[in-house]
Amino acid sequence: MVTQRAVPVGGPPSLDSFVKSITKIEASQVPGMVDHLISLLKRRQIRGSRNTAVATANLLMRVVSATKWSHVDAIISKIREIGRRLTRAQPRELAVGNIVRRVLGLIREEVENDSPPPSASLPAGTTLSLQSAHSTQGGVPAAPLGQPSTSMFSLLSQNPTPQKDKSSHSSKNIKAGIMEGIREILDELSTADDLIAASALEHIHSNEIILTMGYSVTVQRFLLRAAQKRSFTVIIAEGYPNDQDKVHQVLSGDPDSPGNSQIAEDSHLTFQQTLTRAGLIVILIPDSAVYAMMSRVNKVILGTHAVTANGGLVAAAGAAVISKAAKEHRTPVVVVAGAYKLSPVHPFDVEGISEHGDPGKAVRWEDADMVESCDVVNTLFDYVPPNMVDLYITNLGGHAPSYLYRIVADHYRPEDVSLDG
Amino acid sequence: MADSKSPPKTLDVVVSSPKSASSEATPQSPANPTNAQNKQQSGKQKGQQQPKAASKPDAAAAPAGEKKLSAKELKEQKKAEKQARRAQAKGDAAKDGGPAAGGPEGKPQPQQQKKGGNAPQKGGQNQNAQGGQQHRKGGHQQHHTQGPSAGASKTVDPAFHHLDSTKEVALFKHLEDTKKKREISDGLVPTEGIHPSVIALGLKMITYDICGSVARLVATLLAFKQVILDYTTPPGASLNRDLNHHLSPQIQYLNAARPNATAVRNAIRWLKVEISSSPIDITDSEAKARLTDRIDAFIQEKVMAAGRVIAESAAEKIRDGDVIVTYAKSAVVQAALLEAHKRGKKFKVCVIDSRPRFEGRNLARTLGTAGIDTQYSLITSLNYIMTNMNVTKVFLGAHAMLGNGYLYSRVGTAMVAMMAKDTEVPVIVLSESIKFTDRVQLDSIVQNERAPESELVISAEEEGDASGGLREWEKVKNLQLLNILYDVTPASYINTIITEYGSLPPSSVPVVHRLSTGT
Repeated sequence: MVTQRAVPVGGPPSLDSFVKSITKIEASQVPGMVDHLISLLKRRQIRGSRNTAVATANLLMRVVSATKWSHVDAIISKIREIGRRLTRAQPRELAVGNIVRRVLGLIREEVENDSPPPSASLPAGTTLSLQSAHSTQGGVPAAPLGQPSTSMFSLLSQNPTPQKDKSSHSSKNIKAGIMEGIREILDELSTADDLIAASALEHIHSNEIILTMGYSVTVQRFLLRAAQKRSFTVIIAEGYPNDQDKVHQVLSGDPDSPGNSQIAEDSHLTFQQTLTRAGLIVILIPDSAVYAMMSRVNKVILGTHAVTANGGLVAAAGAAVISKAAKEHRTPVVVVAGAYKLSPVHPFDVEGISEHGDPGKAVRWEDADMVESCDVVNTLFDYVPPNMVDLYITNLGGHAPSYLYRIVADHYRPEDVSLDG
Repeated sequence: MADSKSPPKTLDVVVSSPKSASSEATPQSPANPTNAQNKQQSGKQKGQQQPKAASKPDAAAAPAGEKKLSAKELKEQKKAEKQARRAQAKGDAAKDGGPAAGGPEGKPQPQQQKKGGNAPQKGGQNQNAQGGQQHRKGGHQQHHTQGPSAGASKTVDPAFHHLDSTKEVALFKHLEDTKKKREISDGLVPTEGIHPSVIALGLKMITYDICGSVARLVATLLAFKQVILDYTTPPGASLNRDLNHHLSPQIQYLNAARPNATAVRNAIRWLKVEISSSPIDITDSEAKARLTDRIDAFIQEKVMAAGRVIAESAAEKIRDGDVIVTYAKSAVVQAALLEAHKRGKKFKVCVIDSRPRFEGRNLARTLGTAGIDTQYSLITSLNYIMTNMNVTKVFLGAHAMLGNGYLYSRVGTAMVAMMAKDTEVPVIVLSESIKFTDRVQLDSIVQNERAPESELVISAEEEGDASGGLREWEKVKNLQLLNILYDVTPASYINTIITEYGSLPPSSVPVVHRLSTGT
């Protein structure tokens, strides 16, 4: 399978170099590119929800365009296989799996749109019996099952679709539709933060005290948008020992210094327009002072790494304690996250979510003698249960945690939730 | 007051063997040896104006960790010297002024010599030869030589001199700002009438060389003991009235260096009562001997013995297989864990720590070296520790136990207690009753202590050249740093408080406070 590696030349591998190289390669190099992304994920050279999502979408677009298939099941199983390998390479980057599932959903949708109305070919299976049950209960005449896009029944009617329908379409039409769909996903990835920020004024009033943690582009844009109209105070917990460098540099850094432009490139942070320059008063606190300050905080706004199907968060370490402290003080916790971070996966293995980082960040070189006699643990992620969160703001609007399952259902097909098998 | 109460039975065993208790206590009170050392040195160096000569033996004598502070220590010594001269000048004046004063003054001197290395004593002899005029000159020279030495320790300083009001967090403006501390360590605060040992102590508190309320309590009492020994009752006054007046400026000086710890305040209140209840029919030296004995007994009983009793009863609560979480560093928690280890208990300790003081590293090192299974994490990993490590107990130290049962302790303690409550792990506070107060507080903002903001700046040496984003923070408009020292943990998070009187619920704090103060 592995023929040759399309490893880009010049500079350390990053998202940009990956995206650039993937548009140039020949069709025969696509399998090598899959391996390349797997190794980038494994080595964490591409990390963070947005970056991995962009890389995955670009890869899948190339895979779809390069693959010839006679039967639609072939491309579906191929993408499932790639998705399986990518998620296995980096199980904590849930966004990778999300994008794979979105693309799978796209393919299925294209096939259905091309196929004749399902009502014509559907046998009287489960769907019809459900429909009749509904109509007898509600006393409302059953709507014709022509449009499968939004109705709950369509979700249930997926599997009985006969396979011969799918194969009967020209793969060219479908392919164009799928490519268009992936491009839309990429668009969504780049505009999600702006759409989220657009609702900032609905959530922040003047003179408010907002607490946030670490650095997050989504949170930064959200606050900056609100700062255009209102003046308020932002308390930032620095997220020591993993995030403090970026937090410090974003707050006080010089946008032109080479180190900062690298950070800006990697994490899409804006140095030109910082919170302080926008006129906000920013109070930087050590993570230990969160509880002490919480009694004066009006809202906690957190960014997140991923959102699980039940409304829980996989966020930077420290988020769980902060949201717990907020709960203790009855302070609302608002989570801002693009819909691409929303995963259909349920967090059955909470322990597995917590990735361990470099212990060397938690101790200094001078403390070498201490390390000899004790373990040092530095976790990167916290799982925050859904009852700790009061509101989610995505690019689709604001939602209660209890509503997230519905958005999950909108984005992913139930048959794609598990990529295995 | 406290001595009139008979100590509880558990105390008797320990009190009866004061030697073992005091040897146990030495690590708890680093103030003790260093103080003596310093004094000895300042005595030796008397008359030498060269700062280099003064700093060299000092640095050699100081433990490795204190090397960096040689500039500070140097200043300390200079202060001590200067102060000694002033004190002597006064003494001289008194001698010249009236023969009546000469009588009582003769007595403390031999006593001081017995103690060894007393600054005023030797300085005085020097001064006598040089004369008063010379002395004043010397004082001025001190001021000049202080300039460069203050400059040498500029690494943290500049922040304070330029800190304007827009850099202060509005919510905390009511708290004593850090300017005063700076002024003290820069020698800008008049030290007229302040005893050299008190000045030395104040400077050590500012630099956190003496940190933790028990260590500060012991150091303060020892310094005051020195003040009492060097005190001479002025003519026409009585010791039991005048000594308290004499102590007041010393207390104020310490309070300006760092707001006095609750334990220190409690001890000062006790000491004042003790002084004013001195019998009037005994001589000054007898009264002084009585007071110093009382102070020694107070330290033995309220700190050393109490600490041992608490450590022992806390160690009893540890079982094999326990996973114990503790936050930052508390001397009595450390003693308890070591005691349990000594008794052969097999348990694991998770030390949670936080920026900028990293006190937990010290604890983790001590426990790890002693052979205890120790794990060290920062407070961001707290949720992981509490949910995945099967934690069975949380041991917390205290700065003060408030009258409403709330715990006033190192900032971050409340979060650890909160998570423990959330995961249904018992929270056990270890606190000597001297830390109990009738003061009440509901949040961490009304009453707190601000530490210098510049402590939050990660220096280039610490993290390599990649970091240091905050070095220019003062120039960034609208950016404020907040570095508070304490937070308040609600009583509802606390399951039990172990004191030398036994284990109690937080609601019993005021009862114990009344009991221990006898009010």
